[in-house]
Amino acid sequence: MISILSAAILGFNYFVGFYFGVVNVIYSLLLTLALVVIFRHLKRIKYSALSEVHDSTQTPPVAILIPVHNEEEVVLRSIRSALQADYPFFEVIVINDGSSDNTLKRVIDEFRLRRIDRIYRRTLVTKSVKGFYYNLETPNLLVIDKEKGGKADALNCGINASRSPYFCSVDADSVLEKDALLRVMTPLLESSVPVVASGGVVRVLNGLRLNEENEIEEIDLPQNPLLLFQIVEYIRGFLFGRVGWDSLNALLILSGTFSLFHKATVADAGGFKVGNVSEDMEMVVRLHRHMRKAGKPYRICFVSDPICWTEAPDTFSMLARQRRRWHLGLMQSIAENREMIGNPRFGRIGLIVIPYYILFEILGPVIEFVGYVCVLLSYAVGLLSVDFLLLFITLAIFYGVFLSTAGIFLEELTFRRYPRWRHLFRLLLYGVFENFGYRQINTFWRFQAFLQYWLGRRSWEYVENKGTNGTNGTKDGAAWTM
Amino acid sequence: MQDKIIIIVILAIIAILVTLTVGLFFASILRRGLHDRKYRELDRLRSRYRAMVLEALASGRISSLWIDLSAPPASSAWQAVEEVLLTLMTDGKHSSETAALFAALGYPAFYEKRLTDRNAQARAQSVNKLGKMKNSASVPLLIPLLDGQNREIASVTVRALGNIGGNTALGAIVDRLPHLIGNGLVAGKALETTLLAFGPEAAPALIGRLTGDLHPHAAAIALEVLSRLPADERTISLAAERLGHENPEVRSKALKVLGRPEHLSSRPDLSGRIAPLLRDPVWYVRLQAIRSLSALKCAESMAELGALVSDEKWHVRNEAARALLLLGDCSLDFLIEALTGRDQYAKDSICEEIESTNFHALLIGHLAANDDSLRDKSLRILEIMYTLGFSIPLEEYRNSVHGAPQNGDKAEGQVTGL
Repeated sequence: MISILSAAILGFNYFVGFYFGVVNVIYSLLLTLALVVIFRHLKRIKYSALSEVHDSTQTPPVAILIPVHNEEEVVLRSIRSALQADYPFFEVIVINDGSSDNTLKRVIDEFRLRRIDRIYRRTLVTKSVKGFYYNLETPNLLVIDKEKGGKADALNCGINASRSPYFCSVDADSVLEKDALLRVMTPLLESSVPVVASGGVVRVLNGLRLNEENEIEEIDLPQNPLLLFQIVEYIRGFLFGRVGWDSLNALLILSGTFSLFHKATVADAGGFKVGNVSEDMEMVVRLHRHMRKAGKPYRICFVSDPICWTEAPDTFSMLARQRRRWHLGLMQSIAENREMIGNPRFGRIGLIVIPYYILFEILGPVIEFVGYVCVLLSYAVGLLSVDFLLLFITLAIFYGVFLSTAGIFLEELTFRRYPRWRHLFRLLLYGVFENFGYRQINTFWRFQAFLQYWLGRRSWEYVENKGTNGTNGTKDGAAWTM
Repeated sequence: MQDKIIIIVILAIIAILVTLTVGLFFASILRRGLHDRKYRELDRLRSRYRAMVLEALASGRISSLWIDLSAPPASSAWQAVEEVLLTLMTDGKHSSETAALFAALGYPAFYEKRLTDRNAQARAQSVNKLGKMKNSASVPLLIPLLDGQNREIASVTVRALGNIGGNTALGAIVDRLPHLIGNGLVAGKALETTLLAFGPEAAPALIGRLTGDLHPHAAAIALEVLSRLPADERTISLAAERLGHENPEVRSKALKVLGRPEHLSSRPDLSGRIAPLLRDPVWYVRLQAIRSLSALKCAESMAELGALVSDEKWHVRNEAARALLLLGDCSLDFLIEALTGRDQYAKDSICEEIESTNFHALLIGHLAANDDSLRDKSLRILEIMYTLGFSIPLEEYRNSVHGAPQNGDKAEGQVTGL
């Protein structure tokens, strides 16, 4: 019996070693691809059509959709930031999703809005709309007050009310850089293949100083180590994860914090899925499914220079909730589109990308967590020597440090949004530190989400938005709690 | 033995990772240092050259400047001079002098040489630079690039030719519209933007191209551009001929060309040719037909517009309602007819448009009119709006006349029946 157990543990250890090797090879490939693509993109920026798009009367209008639920401390900041977008034709639609605080009142008072009669055409089914608010002095701002239905429902409501062919979803705790909308729109206008969705980079807002017009006055790093770890993580995730997948035309995730969509295609695909805790990812997976089924050529692309700054959780408990929610959303999104798994009809998305996400992103934390336990158990029962144990841990940590440093190097090569020398040194340092505890905790949270999913808990865990960088004080607000 | 091999392999991987990490660590620091130095130097050179160029331009001694500004290609000084001159070129005040300076300093020649570079991005960058320098002498070298199959090069070349301008560049793009569109080399919006940048001069070339057999998408692009340029009799005739085109996009764009008040007033026969398209099977053609007719404020089409407020597409319903409202008081009967009909969608669309176009103010004004018929019709419409839940205009009216409660109460009382 003991020999069978020992053989099983040993076998699993070899499997973990093999799995670890495959994951690292894939990451290294993505990193290499990202390096090539980013270099090309940097050259391409020099001759991009940005100014032509800006000046052209042919640039299509875009609706910026801001769904809000109990965000009274941050909502004004994000609306003002959206209204300042440097884009020729856009409307801002704020959807108040049944807030129980003063969110709606603050917006109405600030922009002196008045109630208007407007027909609500329910192209996508949503909860009831209670009213529309508008002011001719700010003609491109419309506020919709509706019954609570969740973020996906609020976005669907915004899609129904919008009259623009494209819409951009922006979180209420986020600040857009002035030219972000223009930059994220440019590939849609330059591509001869229809682009149905396009996403930009999301960065951590905490630490930035904004002026009274909610423009970024000074970029600085926060003091909180948890936020610094997240900054390194965001840089790595956006600059090589997404860029790498985008180069293969196989992008499965666009951040709902800042993404642009072709409205008619989203509506044809059925709109955002209510009840999914990660409606942005589910939407992208479904768009792939919809377009591939229809046999139409399309692109879903990621652009690495438009930037949206968003608030990151600054406590362990909030961060844990966010990460569990993200992992749960990933599992839900793939489960709801399981028809695509390994199905050649869906091309590389069905044959490569989704299997990758299942094997390495969904199961990764489970294998990693069980692997840690097994390795320690092997050591305890004498199946593994100290040398092996230390070597294995050293290898894992050094590979993590390498990836983090590579991410920061990519940032340095490209956009250098953190301008001071001390920023660079701190980021490099935290790229090393994050491998000693932070990454392991993250794995544990994702493992928790995996367990919760199989135990049937599939609800949204709320994350507080503090509005710490804006002009609106520091009192806690709360996002969706459904 | 096997364990030892595994340990050696892992140690080797760790050694490689450490080397790479340390390399990237120092590369990040080094790159930042080098960049800081490079941009400090560029800033200094830019401000120095900018002052020199502006002074020379002010004193008219621009020809003596080229010796001071000469620099080896790709050096910091070369880059600084180029950026200063491109900024002046964009400002548009000294375009000819700047173009002459560029030529004297050898910039166009440098980038023209790079048009044959094996690297497509280097070629695209050079094309873009030549376009920004508005170097018309480069046009013959740029035109053949439109014939290739590289999308990036084709797109940048179209934009560069648009920047340079001139009939040769325009003719080259227009002649190649079928190739550029048919092979998906340049996006439609990008072509429209570029062609519009040529201004009214683009019209004759586009008209010339439209007279032949043209790819429907290319024809739609040409008509879209023509709809935004001053049009002559030939344009109008060409557009009118394409009202019967089999492609709905072409029909819709042709309607857009015709839907300008000056065209319709000079050619009263056009409204008769547009009207049948109100019954087009494609909704966006019907929409455009309404827009074109509403530009004419053509009372003869009122009956057909009235029918379209019950269209299956809400865009068409709203546009039809808006067109009726633009006709003013003479459309009141049609509005009442639609508002007392059974089609709830039509009623909603009309009420929404009455509010959004501020037509309700006119109706409220009519409540005090001497003309009984006008007053009754307006009252009837306001009553229906109130019962359909479009009560805000009236509530606002009541609030606005708060200082004169009798008037407000009277109007509200009339409408609500209270």
